[in-house]
Amino acid sequence: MNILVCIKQIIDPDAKLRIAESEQALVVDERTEYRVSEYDLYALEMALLLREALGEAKIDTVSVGPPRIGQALRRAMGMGADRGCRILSHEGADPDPFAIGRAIAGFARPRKYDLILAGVQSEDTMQGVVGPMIAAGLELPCATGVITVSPMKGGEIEASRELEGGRRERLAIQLPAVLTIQSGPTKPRYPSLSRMLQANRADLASFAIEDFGPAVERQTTICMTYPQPLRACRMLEGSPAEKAGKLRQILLERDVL
Amino acid sequence: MDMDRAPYPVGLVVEHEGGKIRPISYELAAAAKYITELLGGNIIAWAIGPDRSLAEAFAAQTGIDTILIMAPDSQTYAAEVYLAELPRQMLAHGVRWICIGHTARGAEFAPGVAVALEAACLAAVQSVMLENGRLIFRRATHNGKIFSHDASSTERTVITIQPGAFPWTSPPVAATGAYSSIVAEQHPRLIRHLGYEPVDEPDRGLEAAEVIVAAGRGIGRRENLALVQKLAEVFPKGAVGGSRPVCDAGWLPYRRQVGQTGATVRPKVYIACGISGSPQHLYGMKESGLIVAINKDPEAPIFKSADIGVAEDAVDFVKALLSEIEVNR
Repeated sequence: MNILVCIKQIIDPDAKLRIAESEQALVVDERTEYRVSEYDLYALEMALLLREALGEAKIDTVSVGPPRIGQALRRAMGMGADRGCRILSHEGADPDPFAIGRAIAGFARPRKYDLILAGVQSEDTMQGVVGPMIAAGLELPCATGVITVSPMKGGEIEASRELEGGRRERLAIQLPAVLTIQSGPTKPRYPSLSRMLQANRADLASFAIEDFGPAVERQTTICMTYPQPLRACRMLEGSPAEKAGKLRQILLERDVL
Repeated sequence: MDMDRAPYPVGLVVEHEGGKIRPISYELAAAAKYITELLGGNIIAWAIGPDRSLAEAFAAQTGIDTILIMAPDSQTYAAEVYLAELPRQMLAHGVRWICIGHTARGAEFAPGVAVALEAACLAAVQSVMLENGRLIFRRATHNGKIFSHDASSTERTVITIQPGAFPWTSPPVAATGAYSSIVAEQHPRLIRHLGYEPVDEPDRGLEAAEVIVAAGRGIGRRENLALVQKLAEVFPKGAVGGSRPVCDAGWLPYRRQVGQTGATVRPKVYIACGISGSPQHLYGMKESGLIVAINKDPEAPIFKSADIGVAEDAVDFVKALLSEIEVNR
């Protein structure tokens, strides 16, 4: 089985984020930390588990972005992916989801993958549209929010996908197919040291995003803002003990204690 | 742009399950109405399924013209049918703005509909504004720490609406919407629905609780859940809940999860311990009476949704609060 896993490198959302003066992007400087979007690690973990279940599978990874995305692909190889492919965009010119989806679909088309996996959404732009857009570009069946996958006979796979309120439905999907992966009980593994050393020396295949079509933006960011307060939050002041005393008082007033 | 000003129809897709219209469908009606208030134009709703009465009910309740795409063999949602039928219909009716739920299923078929319509797809939209004649869509990014105001540059635009963002207030309907139907040509081919997994029902304890103490990633280690449990037990009607990462880690069963993919709760008091406040989590608890947020990151988005904020390490502060309560017993 040939599997492609789509990897996005993002600015670490747990770090302090600042909106740039242009209001259209975040401040990026030498302190900016990047990491792989968590859901994509779950997608890669799913691919690795499938390979273990099948005994044999080839796992490629692909990412769209500036040259620094090589770091994310090498981490994926450290976890066990066989190859990494970069689709390079220009630094600072964040391609929109349509451009990313089209580029990955264009990359995947001649390579005849049986299964294409991506995270259910990225942790930065949180749209969750690239996976289904790849499927639409390749005219493949697609299921999103998948928690578990198991191979079936007759060229199908069984996928369990999450619905609202914790409900799940089971689907049998004819391969080739595209799945987007939701986080679940199986934590993505850490890269192994020996694999990481190999990955750091490995050659990454590189393409230009223009190889897969002219740059056409379908959506633009007009500005970014910090979240508006929905409630007037009163921050408690003082030492931890003093704050605890104040909170106890508030809970007493609410008659719940 | 003047283009946006022209009164083109706004489309929406009715979401339903088990013969019932899902609440998000009415929120889509509210969002579509809001867009027509800004730009003019009428609304057309599409429902795909075997059931005429469902489409008629939606037309009657909302006053929106509703077209049933009759798919007799689609008792349940089938992505392939949606992806084949909806773009055809939407092109034929010339809709420019298409509202779909940012739900498990809506988020699955919306991007494919956008690709077929050569449209942009703006996802998880929380509000819509008109600026200089252009529609701007506000959406949460970076786990809720930032909001992005986005615009589309395409003739047609698919937007998925974040559940809870456009409440439907059941306004009086002057006249029932027109009902019509067509027959679907597409049948499911490559995806077979096998059934549902036995449901891990949201915990009753959460529903009945007056105080929910909820644990997030910020509690650090599984062992620290005992403290959260202990705090919950201090309240006569207390219960423990958790964020998705805590349930994914197996520290709590999924039936204790609060959020869009878990339970929706509205206790008198909600105490969020080490929860950053992703939009998915906020959806599940934002109607709570008093919201207390404890998080060592003073910039955590949870504070924007809280009444009382404590910028302390959640574990250390819960210990302090427990001893304060015990001392004063």
